[in-house]
This record gives sequence, C-alpha cells and structure tokens, in this order.
Amino acid sequence: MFKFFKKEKENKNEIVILSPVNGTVKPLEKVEDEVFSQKMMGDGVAITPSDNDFFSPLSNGEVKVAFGTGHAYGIESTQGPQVLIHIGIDTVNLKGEGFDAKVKVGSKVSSSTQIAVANIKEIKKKAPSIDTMVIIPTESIGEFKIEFIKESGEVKVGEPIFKLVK
Amino acid sequence: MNKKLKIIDPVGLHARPASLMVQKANAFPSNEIKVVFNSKEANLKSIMSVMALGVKNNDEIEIVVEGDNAETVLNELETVMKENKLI
Repeated sequence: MFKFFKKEKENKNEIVILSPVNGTVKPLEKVEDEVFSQKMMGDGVAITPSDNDFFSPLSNGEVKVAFGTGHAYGIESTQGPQVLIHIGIDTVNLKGEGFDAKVKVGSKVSSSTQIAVANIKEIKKKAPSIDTMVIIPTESIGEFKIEFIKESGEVKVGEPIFKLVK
Repeated sequence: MNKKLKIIDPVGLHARPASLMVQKANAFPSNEIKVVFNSKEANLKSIMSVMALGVKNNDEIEIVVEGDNAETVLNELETVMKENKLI
C-alpha cells in the first residue's frame, strides 16, 4: 500500500521522456530548421534515427495529434504536458510517402506502443534531413521544468532522454 | 471579435506557420483566442491544438478573440500572418 502511494506521488511531479527511436542525440540548436533550433515550438532534443521503428516517448499518454502524412505526432501525458514528435525536416511535403502511422487520435499509449514506421533511407533522399525532434510545446509545460539526461551520443529506443520535474 | 481568413501557406497551419501564430497569441495572456475550422475549435495558444485541426492550403479559418482590446489583438495576429504569407 505504502509503495503504491509513493509511486503515485512520484508520477505526479516527474515525467520521463523516452527516446522514440534508436539513433544519436543532438541539441535542438543544431537542427537545420529555425522553427526547431530557435525553439519556436518549445524545448527538447533532436535524434538522428538509425532505424525505422518509432515508439511512444511517454509511458502513459494519449495521442492528440496524428497527421494524415504520418510524420508528426502529439502525445499528451496524464499530468498535462505534451510531447511532439516530428520525424524529419520539411517532411510534411512528402505527403505520407515513406511513413506508416501506427496510432491515431485518441489512441492510449505506453512505452511499448509503436507510433510509426518510417523508411529512413527513402525519406533521407527526399527531405532535407531525417532528424527527429522530441519537443515539449512551451504552452503545455506548465509548472514543469526540463532536466536533460542525454544531450549527445548514441541512444536506444525507450532510454530516458530528458525529464520534466516540478 | 472574429474574422474569417483564407490560409495560403502551401503546407497549411503546420509546424512553422502554426508556431508563429501560437507565439503571437501567447503574447496576450488575458485574451481567450480560438481558431474555428470545419466546425472544430482550437485554442490558438496551443500548438498541438492548432496542428490537430489539420488546416490546409486554401482552407478558410475563423479567428475568435475574447476579452479586452480584442480588435488590437486580432489586428496583430492578422499582421503576423500577412508578414509570413499565411494569408
């Protein structure tokens, strides 16, 4: 019983953001698109993916945005803050080519939920970059603050990359 | 205060155009600002809310501003949209 309450309390004040894909982490500032590098949408990190399978960055959330084009997903945590996953730069122009969405709006997700399959090799040929942004929209962050865990180097899917704490 | 506007940005209200509008909207903390499209309503202060509308090129949206100085707020939003060729 005690353990149960303790767990609830921790969850309320801390949200761990997991890497959605295997790859290499880099700071958002190094992304070649000012929307992301200037943090116009919010803060977070970028990952250069090394494979095609993308999973939920949250262990408990709900899909709020899933584009028909399959390249961007918005997931809301039970605590309020949202996470935006944007696969590649200018990939909206591919109109879905190379992307296979695995979730839709309203889908409940856990860390084992696959959100998309993206054909990295194909997308790389047609888009300026395959860098995938993991962002907390500024207006959704509320009282939470970002604490970075991993800002560079190789990362495995499901590995914590940063957390939100208050 | 409300106004209908036609979006001419080629990708519609996606990442860049949407964040420009959301940034501007958040400069007015005391006003409630909404976008209405396809009988769905979005909070213009939330990027996810706006992107979820799926507004595309040539779609008509309606911006609704509540609160003090609504006209000024609406004008400023329209200016930022014009400057960035969204309308």
